[in-house]
Amino acid sequence: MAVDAAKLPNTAHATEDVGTIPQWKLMVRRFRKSKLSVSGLILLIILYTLMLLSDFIAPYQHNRIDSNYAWAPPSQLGFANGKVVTYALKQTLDEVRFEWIYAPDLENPIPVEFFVQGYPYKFLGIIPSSLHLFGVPEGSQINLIGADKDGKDVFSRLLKGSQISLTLGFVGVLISVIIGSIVGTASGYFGGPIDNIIQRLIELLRSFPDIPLFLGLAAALPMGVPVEVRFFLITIIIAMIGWTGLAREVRAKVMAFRASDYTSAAIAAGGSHWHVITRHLIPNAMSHIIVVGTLAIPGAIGSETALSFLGLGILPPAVSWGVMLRDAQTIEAITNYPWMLLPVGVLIISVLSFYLLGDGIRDAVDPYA
Amino acid sequence: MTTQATSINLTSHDDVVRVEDLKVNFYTQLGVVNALNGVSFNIPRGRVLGIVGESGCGKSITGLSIMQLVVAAGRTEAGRIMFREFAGQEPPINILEYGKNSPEMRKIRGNNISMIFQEPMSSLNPCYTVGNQIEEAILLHQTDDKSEASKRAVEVLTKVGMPNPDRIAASFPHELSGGMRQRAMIAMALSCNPTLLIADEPTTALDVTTEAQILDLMRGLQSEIGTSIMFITHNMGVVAQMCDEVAVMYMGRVVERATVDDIFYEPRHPYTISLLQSIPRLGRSKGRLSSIEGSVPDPYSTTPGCSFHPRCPVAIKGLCDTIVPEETIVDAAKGHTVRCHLNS
Repeated sequence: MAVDAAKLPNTAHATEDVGTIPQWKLMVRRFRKSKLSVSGLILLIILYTLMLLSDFIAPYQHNRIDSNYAWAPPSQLGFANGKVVTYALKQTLDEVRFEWIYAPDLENPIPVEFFVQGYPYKFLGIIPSSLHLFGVPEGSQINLIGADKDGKDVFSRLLKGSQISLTLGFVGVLISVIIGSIVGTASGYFGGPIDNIIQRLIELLRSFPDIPLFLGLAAALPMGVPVEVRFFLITIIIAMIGWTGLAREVRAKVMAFRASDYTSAAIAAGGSHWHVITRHLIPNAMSHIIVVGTLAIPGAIGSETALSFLGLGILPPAVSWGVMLRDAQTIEAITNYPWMLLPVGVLIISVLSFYLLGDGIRDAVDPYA
Repeated sequence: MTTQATSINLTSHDDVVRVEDLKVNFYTQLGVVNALNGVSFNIPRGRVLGIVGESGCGKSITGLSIMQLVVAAGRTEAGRIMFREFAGQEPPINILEYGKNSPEMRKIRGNNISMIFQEPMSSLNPCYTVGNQIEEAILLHQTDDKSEASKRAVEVLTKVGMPNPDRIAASFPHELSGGMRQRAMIAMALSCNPTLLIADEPTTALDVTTEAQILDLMRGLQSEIGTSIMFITHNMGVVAQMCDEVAVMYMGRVVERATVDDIFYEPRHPYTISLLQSIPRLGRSKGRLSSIEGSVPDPYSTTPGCSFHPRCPVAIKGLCDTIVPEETIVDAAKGHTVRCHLNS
């Protein structure tokens, strides 16, 4: 009997926890049900990890020129003496087309070494380092996915370019989410003339065709500024155009929540406008904002790529995927040097992953959608 | 003004709220709706006043006017709402003098006058725990200390008879039943010990068993804390169980005002009489249940004379349809007044 009595409080405690799974756990459960969204998330985690470690993984600086390797094809890899090796390139001049023809010198393996010293960089932008994941001895070169017309390593450029392409979309959407939420909430909450003015302004902004508006704004950017400033200004441009759609969706949500009884109850309890907006309206709209934001990131990444492709976004010597695609826009590149098109593949993967992730989050936060 | 004279004669200075000749119009695209056409009544301290009437008679608008929560389309045209936080406060505060969103008004809301809404299902924010939402009002008005607030939230949940209040405080609204949510709403409304509690049909959305429990609870808390309650309902059974005094409203006017016993046993206004006759009673199954002839007039039209005359079985031609009856005293000692030509 004594044992039973000791067990009782435990059982009582166990029953108390029944049915109290927190909301976020339910969301995670629902999210994990969708295989596509989970794979999207995993791909994004990989992409962003690569981006953070890009200086460590890249064997060369993105703008290191070596004219000996102009249009060099992807290095061939192999095994020799239990080591990963690559081969030196034999150059012969095609006298008809006046082009270098490269062929791997299979007799002459060059060992690929791991954790080698290379160009100096700052790890995560803080810790000075010169350690690189892999490299080959001085005097030879490894171009995992080939080189461009100046002999710049495409692999290194792709990694470096992700730093701009993947963050710019993210930051741009973050800014437009902030603007959109504030304006949309104000519009939906106060209604009347404020709502009217904001909605007409949004319509005005949306009635501009996107590309000319981008071009106009980008052309107004000062040319001589450092890369970071230009990056920031382009982010602002993308945000300036992106916030309108979000503001409208937030407005619709806020209007619905404004009419709800708990908002009346909060006002009846003596809450100010600010209190009602920050405590009741925005938290309720948050799941929606996150979903719309996630789904807006691929658009922003696309916008940056398009701007840079047109030569109005990020400018060389800085590199983004759009800048790389600009180098690949000749028919020559497409027919003879197909590795130049690889940024397209990476771009598609990242954009697709964001869409899959956004879809998954939407289904997870709102089971009825 | 006879109206004012009578109400001053009839009432002591210990009214929590005295509404005097309140007129509220709604300006809509279809025209002007006279929601309140000169409502006057008083809520004595520590008592429960029932406001009874059909849909659209202005019960809820009266409640919202006291809180200054009428939507933007509604405009207060005339009248005063005098509020006395404590007995004998001189001069009383005219709530309508404060701006709708002024800091003074916000201090009154939730702190001195609080409100319980009809729908317990949607009155709680799904994003926060119940405890969190009760703390909100306490933090707004009473204290800045969060741990103190959460302690008081659990206390007030205990007070409203919640089983296992600690756990309820930590649960989200969707985990509670309708009755429990309404208890939580009552806890929230009482968390700052308000002088007046406005309950706008708090049991309409609940089943009868839960309704009885909630009414019991409110009655018990009322006698314990001494909060005055303005109880808005259309259910005469609830009135009988809950209220000390009753104001019957029709078309934006108080047509009869009396103690609960007088309303049920000595009703004077034909509308009150018809309302009582239309309640089904156990054991009296013979014959059809009587109902009030006609229906509530279109809100956009104005009825000349007594607004009840088109449906009144005893209306006097040439008098009831031309002159608005004044508030007349039936029993000064009990505070029984009526607006009907038959009684003047």
